[in-house]
Amino acid sequence: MSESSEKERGDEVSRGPATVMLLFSSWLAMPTLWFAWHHDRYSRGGLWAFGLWLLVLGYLQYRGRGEKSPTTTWWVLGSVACCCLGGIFSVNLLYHWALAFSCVAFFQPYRRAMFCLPLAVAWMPATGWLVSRALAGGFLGWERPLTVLVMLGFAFLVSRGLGARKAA
Amino acid sequence: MKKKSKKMFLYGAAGFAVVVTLIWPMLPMVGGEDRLSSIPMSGPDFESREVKLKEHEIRFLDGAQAIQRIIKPRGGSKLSMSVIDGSGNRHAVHDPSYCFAGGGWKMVQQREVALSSGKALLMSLSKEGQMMEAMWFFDDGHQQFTSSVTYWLRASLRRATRGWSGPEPVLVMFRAEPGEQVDWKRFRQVTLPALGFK
Repeated sequence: MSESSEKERGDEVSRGPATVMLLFSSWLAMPTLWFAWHHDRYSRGGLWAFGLWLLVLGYLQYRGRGEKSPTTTWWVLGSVACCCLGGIFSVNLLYHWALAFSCVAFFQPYRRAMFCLPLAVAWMPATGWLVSRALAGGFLGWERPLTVLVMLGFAFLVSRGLGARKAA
Repeated sequence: MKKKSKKMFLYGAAGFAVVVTLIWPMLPMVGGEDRLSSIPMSGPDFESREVKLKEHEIRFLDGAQAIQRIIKPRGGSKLSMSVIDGSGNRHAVHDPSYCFAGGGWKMVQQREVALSSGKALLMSLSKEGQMMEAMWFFDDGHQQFTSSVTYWLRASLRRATRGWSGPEPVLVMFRAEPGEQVDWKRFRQVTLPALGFK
């Protein structure tokens, strides 16, 4: 059996647990995310940023067919760890990270697309708290989606640069 | 790891997460004292009246307890006092600087001031040409502090240890009427201890 089909088989193994974790972490994270996106001035645009982020994951999954990451198991386990710690310590931020991990595990974007995980901070309400130190009045709504686009462009450039260096 | 055992392991981990996340918050917690009802309505230096919480405020608290009062120190300006006990829902307790910033108030100046058993943060804020002063701190019954991260860590540890790590700090905030000047030094030295924050 070829190496790529071994990887593919490994990903198919993780698909079921990734779906379970996606459903469970959505149930845990969505109420607070939804509330923040609609009521917190520093989370304005978070829903759009989240939608954009999911679109990117979906696109990268489509683009990376046949070149799947063998590390999906770790994303499932990351989601499990964040859920457990979030429940024990009662920290919503950990539920939000559990959702991010499980989305990445579910979509299984190709290996070099792993930058999508840190990109999740663009839709997380916690980042608004950091921004509030410098900016009064909250966001207008375009800042978070734009952050996803800018970080995405930057990551693509880095990814292409790495790919070119590898090819050379 | 073989395909089947790996699948079983991941399903087991997911099941473990579901059980832990649902069961842990339901475990009994060591009860704390009722801090809010012990705050007096009047004292030798002040009088106060209760302000009823609005519907959306009660919804936001979602299990946390809070009181709002108008405090009138003798010979001084009126202040609004809010005390939130997040024992029932610690997510209702936020860094007040975040709430002010979200409400459009710009920080003009902030400085830490000493209290008898800790410190408070005194802030001057401005919005559309109006000035307002506010003072806030967290109080655990023994000392006062102003770090939101410390509150976050202590409240998290308290839930992880089901209350054994120590008491739940409450958030205490005083706001002057916009444009009003308050003698904060006298308020800290006389009114605050009379309210029970020693």
